[in-house]
Amino acid sequence: MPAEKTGTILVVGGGISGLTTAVEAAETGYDVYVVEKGPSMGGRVAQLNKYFPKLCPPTCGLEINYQRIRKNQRVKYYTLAEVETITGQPGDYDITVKLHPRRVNENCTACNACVDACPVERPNDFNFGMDTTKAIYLPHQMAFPMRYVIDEKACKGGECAKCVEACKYDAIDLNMEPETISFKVGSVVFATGWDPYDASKLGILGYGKAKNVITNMMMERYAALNGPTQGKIVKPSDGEAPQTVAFVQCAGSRDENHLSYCSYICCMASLKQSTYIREQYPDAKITIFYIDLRAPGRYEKFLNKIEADENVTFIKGKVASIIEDPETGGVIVKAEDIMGGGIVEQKFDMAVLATGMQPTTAEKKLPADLKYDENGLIIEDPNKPGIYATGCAKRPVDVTTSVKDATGSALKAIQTMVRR
Amino acid sequence: MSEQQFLAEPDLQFINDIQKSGGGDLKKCFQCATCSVVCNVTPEDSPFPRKEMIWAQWGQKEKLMSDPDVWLCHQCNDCTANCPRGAKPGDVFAGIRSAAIKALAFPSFMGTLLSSPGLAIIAWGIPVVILLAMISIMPGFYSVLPHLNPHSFFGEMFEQFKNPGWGNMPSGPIKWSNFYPELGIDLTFLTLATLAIISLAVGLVRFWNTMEKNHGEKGLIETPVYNVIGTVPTILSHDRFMECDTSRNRYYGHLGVFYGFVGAFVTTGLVMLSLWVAGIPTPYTLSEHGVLTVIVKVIGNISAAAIIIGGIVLWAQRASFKKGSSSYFDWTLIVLVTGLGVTGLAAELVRVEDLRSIAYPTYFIHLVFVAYLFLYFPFSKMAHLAYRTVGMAFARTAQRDMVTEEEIA
Repeated sequence: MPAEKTGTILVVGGGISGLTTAVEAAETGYDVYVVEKGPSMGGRVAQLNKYFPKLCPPTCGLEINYQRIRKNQRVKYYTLAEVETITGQPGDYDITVKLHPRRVNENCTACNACVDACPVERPNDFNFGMDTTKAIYLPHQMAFPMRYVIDEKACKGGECAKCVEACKYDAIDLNMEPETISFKVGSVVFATGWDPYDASKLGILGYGKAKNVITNMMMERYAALNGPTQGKIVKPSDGEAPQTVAFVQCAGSRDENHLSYCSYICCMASLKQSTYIREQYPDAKITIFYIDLRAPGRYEKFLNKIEADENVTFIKGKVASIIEDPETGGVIVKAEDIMGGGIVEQKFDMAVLATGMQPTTAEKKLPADLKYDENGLIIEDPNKPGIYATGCAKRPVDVTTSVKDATGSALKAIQTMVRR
Repeated sequence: MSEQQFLAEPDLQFINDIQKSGGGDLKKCFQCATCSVVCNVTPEDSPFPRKEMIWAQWGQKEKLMSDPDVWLCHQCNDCTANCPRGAKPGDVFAGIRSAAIKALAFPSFMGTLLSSPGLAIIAWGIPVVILLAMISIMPGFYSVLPHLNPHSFFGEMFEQFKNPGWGNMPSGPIKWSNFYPELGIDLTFLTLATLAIISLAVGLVRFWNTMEKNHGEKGLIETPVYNVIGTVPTILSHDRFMECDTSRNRYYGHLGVFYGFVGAFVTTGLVMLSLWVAGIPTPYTLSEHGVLTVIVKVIGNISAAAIIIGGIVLWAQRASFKKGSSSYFDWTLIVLVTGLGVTGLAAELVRVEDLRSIAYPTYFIHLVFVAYLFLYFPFSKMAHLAYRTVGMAFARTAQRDMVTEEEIA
């Protein structure tokens, strides 16, 4: 038995799962480090326009968590930070974390003077490249911490330094260096979340070839007030309102050539997004192409509500071809209407690919002794306490389930320390 | 859908047959219908292969056996390449076709013989035995028609015993008729061909009847013969193969083999006619018989080359397509086709080069391949030539084939 135990938990990832794990553990009386690799907390949830099925904005839930963190001295968090090493044993881990230079310090008041001065633009990854920001930018309107950041790849550095001149608060340090910090924790929770599956890998579905093929996450950004079009859903080709929209379910999911599993949320996401369109364009016609519809538990009511909408048509049959319509710039979508008994080749103004969630660990493995399944999802070993995974790092789930899972993971992390 | 109740009554043996002959992954299908969309040769109305996949899962033997769509499929494998489940519709269809050939076979034990890898030795042994038996009775024919053959088989055998070694075969140029007189060979193979045609005719009539019973919803147009003739341009041009994306090379392979066989058939016919009508025995030297010699030699050799090259292309295409698999049924045909071409050409070369030690054995092996082809035509994958043609013809009759639709439009 190690003589001295630490009562500290490391949470890797600052999305809804990581935030929840952190505040639940901290409010129970344990110290927590949150290490987030991006410039802001919030993760994928921050990119969503609305939650299903209540259709409320996620900013509200995130804001509550941010407040709980602000009020709680036990939570320390790092952004632009990545865990480098984890050594030791349950109850006694040594952690090193690399902090990438933000080049903006805590003096920043988010006054935006630097952005006005900055001459360089970069594609805005928060909006999936649908618009741009300056090289110095606020990650998004609900960023936490509310602090600007410099994209080191885009920034011209000392030769430009216009932002440094513009900043009245001495908040910009273009020479900020990366640093490595180390600390001890008793247990680790990986809340490393997911990335949208890369739609450009879905050759036959036309993404990247037909202009008006977008992904479901791009639709979230279009519909969000802080998105590239201030909440207006438009066709990427001409910025006009779409009158007909096709939703393409299982785009890359349940497909051994892409993601072999069902991503669980995409059916509900498309049903939800059909309400975005119907709200903005009451006459718009929507067709949802699906293999099977997954609306578990109380979500079935939501499905029933959408099914009752006469402007929404459901066609059972997976879309296996989308090409650009050379005449209109729209899309031509092809599927077999299984219940109707024939191939349908239909024109739409735009198509939304309901792409699934791929664990971030599919591409990059974590610096810990973890097991992964063939999709890169973390397999928790019940015989190995001390290191846990939560939320979409383990399996694709919705926000509600992630939050419940995170609470459970906080408890597991605490148990590791209490039992020893 | 209709309220009518439907009792599935799955035929488990038929599911088994399909699974064994290539469709091993058919139960992985979850009916997403990607296959029906990526298929370039399906009609748009009730497209395949998605519907056949569920029929196969549910053992709907009669539906599948009577389904012309199974034969409209040219196994491009675009479906298999895009299938999200690895259910391999292309292979399942191949499995359904071989199961159908087996089930329609007359006599039925021949279907079993040709579809069972375990019986391969027997299947290959039968033509060997038939040929040996026929050759051994040749002296009888020879004595009846002495002008046709200067040497008897037994005479050769005797020569050999006197002078051991294949190299001591009868002197003079190598002549196949020394080994197996023309009358004997023609009678043997015409008999086999007649039996094959009878068997095939029974199978095809069964096939047509079951199609008519189960798939004539839209009404039948024109006569079967008219529609069979209607398929000829498609078959000759091989334009369906050109629709394939994934297995585009099969077009060249199949075209080579197809026209190689047509050429071989023409050559054989010419040789037979010139023998029995004009009394000209083989082999011809280049200086003899003028145009006839040129035609026979040119068509014969080009055909052999086309069969061999086509066979190798098909072989390579099957071996390199990792997502799909090939069954015993497929490989038997490819081995048969390539073997026919290679042994045929080899027999010619050893004869021309006067390689006495291996000439007659090479020829014998070639004859075994030919006998296999004739004897088993209705029960092996060779039968696809007939079943596919009739299936395509029925699709036209039932106003189903997309070529018909295009022609109407």
